[in-house]
Amino acid sequence: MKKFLSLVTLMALGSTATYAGGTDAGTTVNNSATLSYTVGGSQTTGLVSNTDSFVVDRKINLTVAWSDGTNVQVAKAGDTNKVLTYSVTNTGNDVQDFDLAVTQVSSGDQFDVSSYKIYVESDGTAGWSASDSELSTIDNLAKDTSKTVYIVSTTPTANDNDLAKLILTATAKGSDGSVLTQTTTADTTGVDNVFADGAGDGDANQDAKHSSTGTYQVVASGAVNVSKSSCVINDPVNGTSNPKRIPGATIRYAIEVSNTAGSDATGVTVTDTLVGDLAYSGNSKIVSGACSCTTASGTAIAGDTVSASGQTVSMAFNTINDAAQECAYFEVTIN
Amino acid sequence: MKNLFIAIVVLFTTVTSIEAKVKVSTASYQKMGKKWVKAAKVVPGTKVKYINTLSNSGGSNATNLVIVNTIPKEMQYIANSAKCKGKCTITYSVDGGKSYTTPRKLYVKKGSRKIRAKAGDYTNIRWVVNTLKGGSKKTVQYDAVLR
Repeated sequence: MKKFLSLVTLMALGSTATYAGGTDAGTTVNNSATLSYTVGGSQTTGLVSNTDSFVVDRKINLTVAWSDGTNVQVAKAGDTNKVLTYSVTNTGNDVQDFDLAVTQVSSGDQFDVSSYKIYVESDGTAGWSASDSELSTIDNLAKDTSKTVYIVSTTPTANDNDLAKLILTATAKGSDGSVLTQTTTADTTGVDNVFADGAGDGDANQDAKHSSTGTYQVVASGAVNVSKSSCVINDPVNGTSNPKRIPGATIRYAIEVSNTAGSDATGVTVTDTLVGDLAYSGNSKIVSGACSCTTASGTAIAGDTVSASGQTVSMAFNTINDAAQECAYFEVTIN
Repeated sequence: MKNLFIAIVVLFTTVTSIEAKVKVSTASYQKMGKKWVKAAKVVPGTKVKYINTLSNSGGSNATNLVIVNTIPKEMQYIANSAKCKGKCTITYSVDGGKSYTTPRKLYVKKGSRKIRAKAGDYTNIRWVVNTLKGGSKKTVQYDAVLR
């Protein structure tokens, strides 16, 4: 869906950019005027001026844009074939080649990728695949047209949320691949080169280059979370009918542990220290699923135990599977 | 070319019979730094100033001078840029010169609706200068951007 969206964005860019390149380099623009006038009652018509002309020069302009929208996620342990997607658009008025180069930024991120390759979309299916062409040049890109470029990286082991930023720079070349030189001297009657590009993330104004930064981010490890709730089971006055938290009442605690780590959690133990007014009274168990204090249903998981030593209650959950929850129940009385 | 031919014919037949001889010439300029120079380094988006010069080399006054400039199709007229030195009337066409009127009355068709024409829709500019004295010059001008 994301790839589809970026394709739509590209197509939208393409359609609004219809005029961007403008009149073709090399076009001759002619202007002339006609005149009629009257002298002493006699009219002269159809006088034509000279024809003024100039030749349209070559406007070198391009846009490089990182199109993923959000940071591309990579695994903490290192990853392969992670793809940053860019568009390179010729916004000048002539056919140009575009050289492609990647720079790893040296500040503002935490790690560099181990290796990368540059691909140009060529297999007709949006999104990178190994059947796209590994290239460092876009050949003969017509004015007002775009190509999708991929940086495909291998990433090293890194820390949670770390960023790796890569700048893709495209440099406009002649349609034969030759280096373009801006005509800085007086204008010639032929087609001169005029650099009209803006500054990108890693280049200057009017340098026939444009660039954009794409970002990889290490997926943060999930966590094991603990939450605690309680409910009153009975009291010496009301019994089990609307019991209140008064001396002599029995309170049930429900300790819920959920695992969002992305892998099974092992050796999970939780300890809870009861305040002095509470005394551990047993009726404990650890069950699968979320807690429900009032019903406390479920069958105890074999091997998972709850035990108390003085005011310290220890709950041995042992293994909790990825994306699973377990609940420990125990009761206390209010002294 | 046909116009030119007619013009030459007209020129020849009238030159001998009148005492005023008016010519029109055109030139294009662009701004380089603070100076306007002959237009040559032009890329899409460059503003070009076209100046048409009328010169009366005869001894009599010429009157009712009508100058028509077809805007090159690669150029987009800049609103309110058409001017003349001295008194004149300026009207515009959006139909290739068949009819001329003021900007307020210029409409173009957009689908089935008629909407007020934008400067970029203009195809021709017409200046009407009342009088050009014998031996004098006058200019009319407009600005346009290369599409």
